[in-house]
Amino acid sequence: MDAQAQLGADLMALKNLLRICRRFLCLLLPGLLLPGLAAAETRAVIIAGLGGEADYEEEFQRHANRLGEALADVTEDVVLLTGEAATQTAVEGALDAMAGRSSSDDTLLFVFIGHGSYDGERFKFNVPGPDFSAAALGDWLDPIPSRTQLLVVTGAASGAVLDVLGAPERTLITGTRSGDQRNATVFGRYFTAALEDAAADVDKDGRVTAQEAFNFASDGVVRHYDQDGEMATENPVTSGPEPGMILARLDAAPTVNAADAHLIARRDELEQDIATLRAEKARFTQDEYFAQLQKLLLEMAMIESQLSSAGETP
Amino acid sequence: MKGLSAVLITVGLLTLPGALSAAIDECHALDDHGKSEAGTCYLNLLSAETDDGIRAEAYWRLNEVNRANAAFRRAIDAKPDDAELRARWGLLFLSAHQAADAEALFEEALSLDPNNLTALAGQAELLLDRFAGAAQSTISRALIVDPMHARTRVLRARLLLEAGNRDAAADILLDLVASSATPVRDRLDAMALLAAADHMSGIATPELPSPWVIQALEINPRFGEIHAVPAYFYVITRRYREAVALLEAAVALDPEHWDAQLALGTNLLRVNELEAGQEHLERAYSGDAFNAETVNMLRLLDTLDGYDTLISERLILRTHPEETAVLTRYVGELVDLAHEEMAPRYGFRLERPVVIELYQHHDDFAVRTAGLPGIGILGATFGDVVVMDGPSAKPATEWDWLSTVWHEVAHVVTLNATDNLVSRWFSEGVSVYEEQRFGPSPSSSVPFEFLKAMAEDRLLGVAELDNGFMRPQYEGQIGVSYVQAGLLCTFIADRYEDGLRRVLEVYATTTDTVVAIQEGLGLDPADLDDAFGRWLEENYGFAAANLADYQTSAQAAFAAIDAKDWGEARQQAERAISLYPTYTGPGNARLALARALELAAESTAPNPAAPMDRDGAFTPGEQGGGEAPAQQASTARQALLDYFLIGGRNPRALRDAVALFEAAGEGEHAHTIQRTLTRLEPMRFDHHARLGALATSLGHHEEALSERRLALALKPHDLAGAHYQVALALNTLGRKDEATRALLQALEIAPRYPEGLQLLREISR
Repeated sequence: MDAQAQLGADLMALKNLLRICRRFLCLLLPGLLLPGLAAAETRAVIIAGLGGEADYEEEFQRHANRLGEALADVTEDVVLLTGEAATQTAVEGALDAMAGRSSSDDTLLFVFIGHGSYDGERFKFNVPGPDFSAAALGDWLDPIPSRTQLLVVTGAASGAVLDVLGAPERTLITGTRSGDQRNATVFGRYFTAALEDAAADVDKDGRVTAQEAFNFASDGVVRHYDQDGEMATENPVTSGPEPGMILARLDAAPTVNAADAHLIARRDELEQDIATLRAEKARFTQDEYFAQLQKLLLEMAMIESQLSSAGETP
Repeated sequence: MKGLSAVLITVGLLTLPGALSAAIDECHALDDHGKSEAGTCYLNLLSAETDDGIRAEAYWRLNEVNRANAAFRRAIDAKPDDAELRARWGLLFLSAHQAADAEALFEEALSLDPNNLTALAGQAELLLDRFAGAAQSTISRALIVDPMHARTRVLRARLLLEAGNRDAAADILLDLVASSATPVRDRLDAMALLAAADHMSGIATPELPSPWVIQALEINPRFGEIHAVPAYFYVITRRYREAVALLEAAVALDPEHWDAQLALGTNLLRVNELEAGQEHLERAYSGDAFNAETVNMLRLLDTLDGYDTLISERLILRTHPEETAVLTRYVGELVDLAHEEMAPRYGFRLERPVVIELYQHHDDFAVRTAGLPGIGILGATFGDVVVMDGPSAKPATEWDWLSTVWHEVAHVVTLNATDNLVSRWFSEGVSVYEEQRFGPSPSSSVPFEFLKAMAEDRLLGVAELDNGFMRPQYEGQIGVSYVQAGLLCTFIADRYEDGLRRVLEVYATTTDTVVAIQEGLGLDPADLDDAFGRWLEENYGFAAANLADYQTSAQAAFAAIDAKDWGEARQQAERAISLYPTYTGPGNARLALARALELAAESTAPNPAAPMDRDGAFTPGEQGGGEAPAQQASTARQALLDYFLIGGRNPRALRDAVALFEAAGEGEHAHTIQRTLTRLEPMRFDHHARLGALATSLGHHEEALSERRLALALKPHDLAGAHYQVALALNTLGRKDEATRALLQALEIAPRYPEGLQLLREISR
């Protein structure tokens, strides 16, 4: 990409960011203008594809916006492309810019909410103007140095990208298991719903990880088809490393008071002790096990109480 | 009906020319008389014979089905226009349980020769096996071609006997036995049917064999069908223990009678003898691996092996382990009620536990009941044993599984109270009556198909009502017969004091409906028909006469909803409701009314731009009947409540109703409907969770705990949350130790669970 094209892409990304910031009141991204200086963080590109019909158009944009809003609590680097702005050129430009400001320690999140098409050989993302293929997306992603990458493609036939975009350190989440599942999906609806549903946060740490959102959404898809006795036309899939990336905070973002650092350190120790005890559960009688667990948890409860009293959110 | 089929298709009339015919006839004669030399005879014939048609017959008798099939194929290649060969090949397929191929070959044979008796008889037999009404006309067609055709006459006698016309059947059969022109095998078959007639009339019992047994065994000492055919008649009249006894006698005579081995295995399962049943099924498989019914049964036993079995004084329940916790509770409650209330209504006491198997997959249930997948019924009862789809097998939009449990348990009562002699219509009628009057979803709604049949005068008299189940004459007649039988029992229960109990008592001594009505109610069946007809007219005549109008108005209401014309939708829906107010089925006008009003309320809800009167109240417009949004919403809720109260059970409608009542702060209604919804879809943890929350809000803490536990048993996605809710419910009930344990289970999964830690602190104080 030449300098002019780079500048164009940056400007477009900046416009989008400004749009997000208007909506989410987030901070402007220094990284966009000062590539390479940002600390390790999560960086996200969210795209709402072409709906074709008004209902889908509205749904895709709504889901993309919800995801954007949730991620705004987690990272400042969110590029949201929706409606007419979500063109092939814009996607390419956003990823190219992302490559420029990312480091290998960063985590990349790429989410496409929308229709896809699969002709038996090639998967294409449906966007305004020319569609782009999974292979093209792969080419745009490759230069991004982030070692940890998560790609989420929610729509019809999205399973077709599994073969094309699979790579070490890259986790793929798709709404269908293959390109042959070509009906419109409901996976995206449940995936975004997970971001504000406490039931998705199964470890109750106040955060919803990508894995938790995937599990929640998969469960929702099964129930969706079960409740009306319909045959499921989509089977969500995750492949690659378990995606521990945080997609949403259900509680307010943590603030840490230096004076309470010892409490937090002790809480982390307790958490580790509980994990160890759990791993050794078989060595104890039920009563012994739960007695020990209770002791650890009571101390944990006291610490959480002290942290809460101090106005901190764990 | 494999046992009987085997008899009737093993040999047809085969006329072959000259010496070849004589050679195979000689072998057949040995075989028909049960001589062990028959095998050698066929082998010798095969070593010399080159005609593939004859070789096929020899292979067939030697039970070499594949070779017989190949020989028939070669024979047809050589003689493509030979109708008889095709018909015989069809019979081979029928004997190998390949009905579709058999049917095609019979049709091909008849296209070559419309009067081919082997094909006509084969086709009739296939239709008889399917209990298809068309069997009668096919038999008649064959008898026009040759009124004395022995095979067809045997089939006609079978049909008459199945319909309970024993005298007419016996006339034909005695004539066949007496005639020297009757082929040996047909004569033996006639004797087996005569023995069956003896059993059906009570002259013979498993302990007291029919005199025809001795006569048949004198001709062929290995003729197992002499017991297997009467056993079949016991099966179709639901007397499985008697069938088992006779089938044991059949396989004792002929251990290689694979169809009898299969029937014995199947019926042992029906009387809850699983191990013995499996043993005979395995024997059947060892001798006849072609029979899909055997294979399916054995696979099903593998499935059952992984099921939980709960054994209590009143109930033996087999369920998939994932569903045990939930189903045990609901089924247990119903079976308790059956012991305490249902059985006493009929002067009966359930002495043994009711056995209930609930299948997760419909095809498993279908195999259990019929041996082959694809049947449409929901449940079946074999004496004490109820087998049925579980709630996971079909969506709740299609059925109400708990009502089906109640229906089937009512069969346990009527079958046991009469030692299985009760007629089909009465047993079904009492079950439907029980379902509609006392079941989990009481209702007096009948489907459109019934009203149509009523308006078109297609209902049967009580004396013939069994035929509506056994040999339907028109599409949907079985369903119509169920409804009719149920309404007839409702009428009897309401009009004649203890009427149902008295009729049931008579059925304990006879299978004859005429006698049961005469002695039980003191009137002739025709008089009962007249009185019932008048009652039916009074109660359903208006709805039947206005059925088309109801449908038109209901459809117009839904169309108006699509067009967002709420006023028109409401008017049409209310008109439909006035024509058939108790209707709960699909295309329901009450749901259209609720939907129209709900949408009208949403669309006309007050907003800054809406017209206001001087007091600031909303000014109603023309839409939705001119009511204010709050009133429209209230009327919508009332429509849903009415639908629910008359027995409407569409889960989607009930989900809407719960949400609306909850949002309106009418927790009692939300709770009542949610409770029913949870029973309709018991495997949905979210229903249990919601019912638990509603119960808590109304102070029903024991119920809340119970529901929270069921939600947890279903292993929801948010396991920590589910444990926490159980802990909360226990804590509310003051059960601190249990609450602590439940809480620890939540925190074990999610150690930083804020609400959990908070509660732990509170409990530990």
